[in-house]
Amino acid sequence: MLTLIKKIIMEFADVDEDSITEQSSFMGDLHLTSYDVVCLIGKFEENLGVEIPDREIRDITTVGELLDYLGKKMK
Amino acid sequence: MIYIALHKDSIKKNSACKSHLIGEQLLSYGLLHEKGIIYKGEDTAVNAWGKPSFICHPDIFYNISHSEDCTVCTISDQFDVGIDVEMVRDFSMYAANKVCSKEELNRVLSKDDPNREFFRYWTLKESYIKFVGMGISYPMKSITFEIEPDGNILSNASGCTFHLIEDLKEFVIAFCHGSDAEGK
Repeated sequence: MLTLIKKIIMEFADVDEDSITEQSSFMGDLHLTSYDVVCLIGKFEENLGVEIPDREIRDITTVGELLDYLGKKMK
Repeated sequence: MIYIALHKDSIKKNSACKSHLIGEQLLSYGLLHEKGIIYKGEDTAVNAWGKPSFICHPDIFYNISHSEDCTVCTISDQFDVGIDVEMVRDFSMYAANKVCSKEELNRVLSKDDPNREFFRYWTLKESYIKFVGMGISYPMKSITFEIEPDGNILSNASGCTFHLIEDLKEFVIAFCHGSDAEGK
Protein backbone atom coordinates (compact mmCIF):
# COMPACT_ATOMS: atom_id res chain seq x y z
CA MET A 1 0.00 0.00 0.00
CA LEU A 2 2.84 2.42 0.83
CA THR A 3 4.28 1.91 -2.66
CA LEU A 4 0.90 2.75 -4.23
CA ILE A 5 0.54 5.82 -2.02
CA LYS A 6 4.01 7.03 -2.99
CA LYS A 7 3.30 6.46 -6.68
CA ILE A 8 0.11 8.53 -6.56
CA ILE A 9 1.71 11.26 -4.43
CA MET A 10 4.47 11.61 -7.03
CA GLU A 11 1.84 12.54 -9.62
CA PHE A 12 1.14 15.66 -7.57
CA ALA A 13 4.34 16.41 -5.66
CA ASP A 14 7.59 17.49 -7.27
CA VAL A 15 9.75 15.22 -5.08
CA ASP A 16 11.83 12.06 -5.38
CA GLU A 17 10.22 8.81 -4.26
CA ASP A 18 12.98 8.29 -1.69
CA SER A 19 12.12 11.56 0.02
CA ILE A 20 8.55 10.42 0.72
CA THR A 21 8.37 8.76 4.13
CA GLU A 22 5.54 7.92 6.48
CA GLN A 23 6.48 11.03 8.44
CA SER A 24 6.18 13.34 5.42
CA SER A 25 3.42 15.90 5.78
CA PHE A 26 1.52 16.68 2.61
CA MET A 27 1.55 20.44 2.86
CA GLY A 28 4.68 21.04 4.93
CA ASP A 29 7.19 18.53 3.59
CA LEU A 30 5.79 17.67 0.17
CA HIS A 31 4.59 21.25 -0.54
CA LEU A 32 1.21 20.11 -1.79
CA THR A 33 -1.49 22.76 -2.04
CA SER A 34 -5.06 22.29 -0.87
CA TYR A 35 -5.96 21.67 -4.53
CA ASP A 36 -3.31 18.94 -4.76
CA VAL A 37 -4.60 17.32 -1.57
CA VAL A 38 -8.18 17.28 -2.86
CA CYS A 39 -6.97 15.75 -6.16
CA LEU A 40 -4.97 13.19 -4.21
CA ILE A 41 -7.89 12.23 -2.00
CA GLY A 42 -10.21 12.07 -5.01
CA LYS A 43 -7.81 9.77 -6.82
CA PHE A 44 -7.50 7.43 -3.82
CA GLU A 45 -11.28 7.34 -3.51
CA GLU A 46 -11.79 6.39 -7.13
CA ASN A 47 -8.86 3.98 -7.44
CA LEU A 48 -9.48 2.16 -4.17
CA GLY A 49 -13.27 2.41 -4.05
CA VAL A 50 -13.33 4.07 -0.63
CA GLU A 51 -14.99 7.28 0.52
CA ILE A 52 -12.99 9.78 2.55
CA PRO A 53 -15.45 12.30 4.05
CA ASP A 54 -14.34 15.94 3.98
CA ARG A 55 -14.52 16.20 7.77
CA GLU A 56 -11.94 13.41 8.06
CA ILE A 57 -9.44 14.93 5.60
CA ARG A 58 -8.12 17.37 8.22
CA ASP A 59 -6.97 14.41 10.34
CA ILE A 60 -4.90 13.01 7.47
CA THR A 61 -1.87 15.27 7.34
CA THR A 62 0.97 12.80 6.77
CA VAL A 63 1.68 9.83 4.52
CA GLY A 64 1.63 7.56 7.56
CA GLU A 65 -1.78 8.83 8.64
CA LEU A 66 -3.12 8.19 5.13
CA LEU A 67 -1.62 4.70 5.19
CA ASP A 68 -3.30 3.93 8.52
CA TYR A 69 -6.59 5.48 7.40
CA LEU A 70 -6.75 3.51 4.14
CA GLY A 71 -5.68 0.34 5.92
CA LYS A 72 -8.64 0.64 8.32
CA LYS A 73 -11.06 1.62 5.55
CA MET A 74 -10.15 -1.36 3.39
CA LYS A 75 -10.39 -4.00 6.13
CA MET B 1 -7.92 46.31 -0.37
CA ILE B 2 -6.35 43.56 -2.42
CA TYR B 3 -2.64 43.41 -3.22
CA ILE B 4 -1.26 41.26 -6.03
CA ALA B 5 2.39 40.40 -6.71
CA LEU B 6 3.71 38.62 -9.77
CA HIS B 7 7.20 37.34 -9.17
CA LYS B 8 8.19 35.71 -12.44
CA ASP B 9 11.72 34.32 -12.57
CA SER B 10 12.33 35.24 -8.98
CA ILE B 11 10.86 32.13 -7.53
CA LYS B 12 11.34 28.43 -8.09
CA LYS B 13 8.38 26.17 -8.63
CA ASN B 14 6.97 24.78 -5.42
CA SER B 15 9.00 27.15 -3.29
CA ALA B 16 6.21 27.67 -0.82
CA CYS B 17 8.58 29.34 1.63
CA LYS B 18 9.43 32.14 -0.80
CA SER B 19 5.77 32.65 -1.68
CA HIS B 20 5.04 32.85 2.03
CA LEU B 21 7.67 35.58 2.42
CA ILE B 22 6.23 37.54 -0.51
CA GLY B 23 2.80 37.23 1.11
CA GLU B 24 4.25 38.69 4.30
CA GLN B 25 5.76 41.55 2.29
CA LEU B 26 2.39 42.33 0.71
CA LEU B 27 0.80 42.24 4.16
CA SER B 28 3.50 44.53 5.50
CA TYR B 29 3.01 46.98 2.61
CA GLY B 30 -0.76 46.99 3.02
CA LEU B 31 -0.66 47.46 6.79
CA LEU B 32 1.69 50.42 6.45
CA HIS B 33 -0.25 52.15 3.68
CA GLU B 34 -3.75 51.46 4.98
CA LYS B 35 -3.24 51.54 8.73
CA GLY B 36 0.15 53.12 9.35
CA ILE B 37 1.19 49.91 11.09
CA ILE B 38 4.83 48.92 10.80
CA TYR B 39 4.62 45.15 10.48
CA LYS B 40 7.29 43.30 12.39
CA GLY B 41 5.93 39.79 12.24
CA GLU B 42 3.23 40.55 14.80
CA ASP B 43 2.10 37.66 16.94
CA THR B 44 -0.77 35.80 15.42
CA ALA B 45 -3.31 33.42 16.83
CA VAL B 46 -4.72 30.61 14.77
CA ASN B 47 -8.19 29.16 15.03
CA ALA B 48 -8.93 25.45 15.30
CA TRP B 49 -8.40 25.04 11.56
CA GLY B 50 -5.24 27.14 11.30
CA LYS B 51 -6.59 30.51 10.10
CA PRO B 52 -4.31 33.24 11.45
CA SER B 53 -5.33 36.58 12.94
CA PHE B 54 -3.43 39.36 14.69
CA ILE B 55 -3.44 39.26 18.47
CA CYS B 56 -2.59 42.97 18.79
CA HIS B 57 -4.96 44.11 16.04
CA PRO B 58 -8.11 41.99 16.45
CA ASP B 59 -10.07 44.45 14.31
CA ILE B 60 -7.86 43.91 11.28
CA PHE B 61 -8.64 40.93 9.06
CA TYR B 62 -6.29 39.61 6.43
CA ASN B 63 -5.79 36.63 4.19
CA ILE B 64 -3.01 35.53 1.85
CA SER B 65 -2.90 33.06 -1.04
CA HIS B 66 -0.38 32.05 -3.66
CA SER B 67 -0.25 29.93 -6.77
CA GLU B 68 2.92 29.42 -8.78
CA ASP B 69 4.35 32.91 -9.35
CA CYS B 70 1.38 34.94 -8.14
CA THR B 71 0.78 35.96 -4.53
CA VAL B 72 -2.25 37.89 -3.30
CA CYS B 73 -3.12 39.47 0.02
CA THR B 74 -6.25 41.21 1.25
CA ILE B 75 -6.69 43.40 4.32
CA SER B 76 -9.92 44.74 5.84
CA ASP B 77 -10.89 46.57 9.01
CA GLN B 78 -14.60 46.03 8.43
CA PHE B 79 -15.25 42.38 7.70
CA ASP B 80 -13.50 39.07 7.83
CA VAL B 81 -12.04 38.08 4.48
CA GLY B 82 -10.92 35.09 2.45
CA ILE B 83 -8.94 35.11 -0.79
CA ASP B 84 -7.67 32.48 -3.18
CA VAL B 85 -5.63 32.56 -6.37
CA GLU B 86 -5.03 29.71 -8.78
CA MET B 87 -3.14 29.46 -12.02
CA VAL B 88 -5.48 28.34 -14.79
CA ARG B 89 -4.31 24.93 -15.97
CA ASP B 90 -5.78 21.57 -16.87
CA PHE B 91 -8.12 20.72 -14.03
CA SER B 92 -8.42 17.27 -12.52
CA MET B 93 -11.70 15.41 -12.68
CA TYR B 94 -10.76 13.89 -9.32
CA ALA B 95 -10.96 17.36 -7.81
CA ALA B 96 -14.00 18.36 -9.85
CA ASN B 97 -15.98 15.32 -8.73
CA LYS B 98 -14.95 15.99 -5.15
CA VAL B 99 -15.90 19.67 -4.92
CA CYS B 100 -18.41 20.55 -7.66
CA SER B 101 -22.14 20.01 -7.54
CA LYS B 102 -23.69 18.26 -10.54
CA GLU B 103 -24.92 21.60 -11.87
CA GLU B 104 -21.52 23.26 -11.45
CA LEU B 105 -19.77 20.38 -13.19
CA ASN B 106 -22.22 20.56 -16.10
CA ARG B 107 -21.54 24.28 -16.44
CA VAL B 108 -17.76 23.71 -16.33
CA LEU B 109 -17.88 21.04 -19.02
CA SER B 110 -20.16 23.08 -21.30
CA LYS B 111 -17.86 26.12 -21.40
CA ASP B 112 -15.42 26.96 -24.21
CA ASP B 113 -12.72 27.22 -21.56
CA PRO B 114 -13.62 24.57 -18.97
CA ASN B 115 -10.28 24.96 -17.15
CA ARG B 116 -10.90 28.64 -16.40
CA GLU B 117 -14.50 27.93 -15.45
CA PHE B 118 -13.44 25.15 -13.07
CA PHE B 119 -10.90 27.36 -11.34
CA ARG B 120 -13.53 30.11 -11.00
CA TYR B 121 -15.61 27.67 -8.94
CA TRP B 122 -12.57 26.29 -7.11
CA THR B 123 -11.29 29.71 -6.04
CA LEU B 124 -14.78 30.88 -5.04
CA LYS B 125 -15.16 27.82 -2.82
CA GLU B 126 -11.65 28.21 -1.41
CA SER B 127 -12.21 31.90 -0.72
CA TYR B 128 -15.31 30.96 1.26
CA ILE B 129 -13.66 28.25 3.35
CA LYS B 130 -10.76 30.64 4.01
CA PHE B 131 -13.31 33.31 4.98
CA VAL B 132 -14.97 30.98 7.49
CA GLY B 133 -11.51 29.72 8.44
CA MET B 134 -12.23 26.02 8.21
CA GLY B 135 -9.67 24.72 5.71
CA ILE B 136 -10.15 21.73 3.44
CA SER B 137 -12.19 19.85 6.02
CA TYR B 138 -15.13 22.05 4.96
CA PRO B 139 -17.43 20.15 2.58
CA MET B 140 -16.70 22.17 -0.56
CA LYS B 141 -19.52 20.58 -2.52
CA SER B 142 -22.05 22.00 -0.08
CA ILE B 143 -21.24 25.62 -0.96
CA THR B 144 -22.53 26.20 -4.46
CA PHE B 145 -22.21 29.00 -6.98
CA GLU B 146 -23.68 30.22 -10.20
CA ILE B 147 -21.81 32.80 -12.23
CA GLU B 148 -24.26 34.82 -14.32
CA PRO B 149 -23.32 36.08 -17.81
CA ASP B 150 -22.84 39.61 -16.46
CA GLY B 151 -20.39 38.30 -13.84
CA ASN B 152 -22.82 38.48 -10.93
CA ILE B 153 -22.11 35.66 -8.49
CA LEU B 154 -24.97 33.79 -6.86
CA SER B 155 -24.31 31.51 -3.91
CA ASN B 156 -26.09 29.61 -1.16
CA ALA B 157 -23.66 31.12 1.38
CA SER B 158 -25.14 33.75 3.67
CA GLY B 159 -23.50 36.74 5.32
CA CYS B 160 -20.83 37.23 2.68
CA THR B 161 -20.21 38.58 -0.80
CA PHE B 162 -18.00 37.20 -3.56
CA HIS B 163 -15.94 38.76 -6.32
CA LEU B 164 -13.87 37.28 -9.12
CA ILE B 165 -10.77 39.12 -10.33
CA GLU B 166 -9.55 38.03 -13.72
CA ASP B 167 -7.29 40.89 -14.80
CA LEU B 168 -4.41 38.43 -15.07
CA LYS B 169 -4.83 36.07 -18.02
CA GLU B 170 -3.06 33.16 -16.35
CA PHE B 171 -4.77 33.39 -12.97
CA VAL B 172 -8.17 33.49 -11.36
CA ILE B 173 -8.56 35.29 -8.02
CA ALA B 174 -11.67 34.97 -5.86
CA PHE B 175 -12.37 37.24 -2.91
CA CYS B 176 -14.96 36.70 -0.18
CA HIS B 177 -15.83 39.23 2.50
CA GLY B 178 -18.45 39.52 5.20
CA SER B 179 -21.42 41.64 4.27
CA ASP B 180 -23.27 41.96 7.57
CA ALA B 181 -22.88 41.24 11.26
CA GLU B 182 -23.28 37.53 10.61
CA GLY B 183 -20.38 37.56 8.22
CA LYS B 184 -17.99 39.41 10.48
